[in-house]
Amino acid sequence: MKVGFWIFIGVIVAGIVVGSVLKKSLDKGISQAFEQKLAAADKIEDLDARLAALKRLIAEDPPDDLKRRVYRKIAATMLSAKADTSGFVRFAWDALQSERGAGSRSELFYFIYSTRFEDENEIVTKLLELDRIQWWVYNYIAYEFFERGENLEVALRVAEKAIELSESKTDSAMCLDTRGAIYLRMGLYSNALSDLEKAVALLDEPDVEILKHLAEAYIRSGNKEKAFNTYRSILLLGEYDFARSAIDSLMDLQGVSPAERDQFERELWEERISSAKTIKPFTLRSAEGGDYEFKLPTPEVTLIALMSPT
Amino acid sequence: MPHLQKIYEEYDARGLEIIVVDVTERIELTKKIFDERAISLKLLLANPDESRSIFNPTALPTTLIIDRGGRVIFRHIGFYKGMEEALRREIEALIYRAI
Repeated sequence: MKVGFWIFIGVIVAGIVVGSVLKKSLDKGISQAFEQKLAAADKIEDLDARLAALKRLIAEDPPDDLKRRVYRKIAATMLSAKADTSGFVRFAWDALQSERGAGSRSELFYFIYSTRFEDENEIVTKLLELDRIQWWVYNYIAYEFFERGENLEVALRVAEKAIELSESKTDSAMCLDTRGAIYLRMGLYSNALSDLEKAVALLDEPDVEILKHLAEAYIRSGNKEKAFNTYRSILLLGEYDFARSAIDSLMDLQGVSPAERDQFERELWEERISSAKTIKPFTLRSAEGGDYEFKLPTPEVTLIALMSPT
Repeated sequence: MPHLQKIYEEYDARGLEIIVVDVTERIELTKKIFDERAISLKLLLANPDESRSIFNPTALPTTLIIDRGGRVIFRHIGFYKGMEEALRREIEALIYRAI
């Protein structure tokens, strides 16, 4: 009886595993076929024919992550190649009416905003009324307003929506940083400190931009000691100009002697070295053909740039 | 990318190696950009799994500077005004401290 039960469970589990593997292979196959069609459409030289082919791909209603890539190609064709901004904005608003996928809706809205074709305040009002737009769109717009120092009250509302929709700890940290930076620019220092300290605590790896805002918030709220320590923690990540000149100014203010400065530098460097993680040896394909092996001892200094061609 | 080529030419003789890793599997486009801009840096390919397991980048571009012990001394996401100078300072700090 017991053996029969376990055989029954085993068959069910095996069925689920096999079904899941088959579904993944099927999805991969569909996705690869769609990728090929997308690449072929993107190569069509006649712009109207290319657009028609891309729109046919949208009509196939692929999964959201693929569809948003098609929208990206449509935007590139209409905005860059055809320079038809008004046509694109009309197309994108129409598509937003019927589009359900959050990724595609976010991509479309982002492109509408980026064209600067419509009044910014109207666009942001529409954004706050729309649903199924992802957090990064709100965060991007709020941060842009912060950088320009414009419409900070509106930026705050947009940043709050970004925080509400953020999905992971990293997303939340980025959104809290945006709102904290906006508060900082509005002169609301205790609000800024609260958001920025939370943002720093959320991240597993320190982020220079967030630490920079936090250090500035400490400076503005008169806490020079915490500002100094925050700038120091930035210098532990790298030789950033703004942090170096802030540390120098704070040391000048405190009348730090040359010997104390030398000691500060030595300790800083030792801490950088001792806290640095070691990269494991790896082998990757070389564009020239063959493999490239990265192993110890490495060259004196190696700079690795991870990039996308665009 | 031309800024990295410039840095490479300045510090190559003093032991700098620069590796560009294309993590988007669009190598043809990257090679074309390298050719157009006369970039002669070492170009490697990493698929998303390789990129995650070796470098674990949270966003692109990510720049790492590694000392001869394999320690990641500098790691930066994105590009900012003045980064070229910051990279030079990091490289010089490693070269001169090693002497």
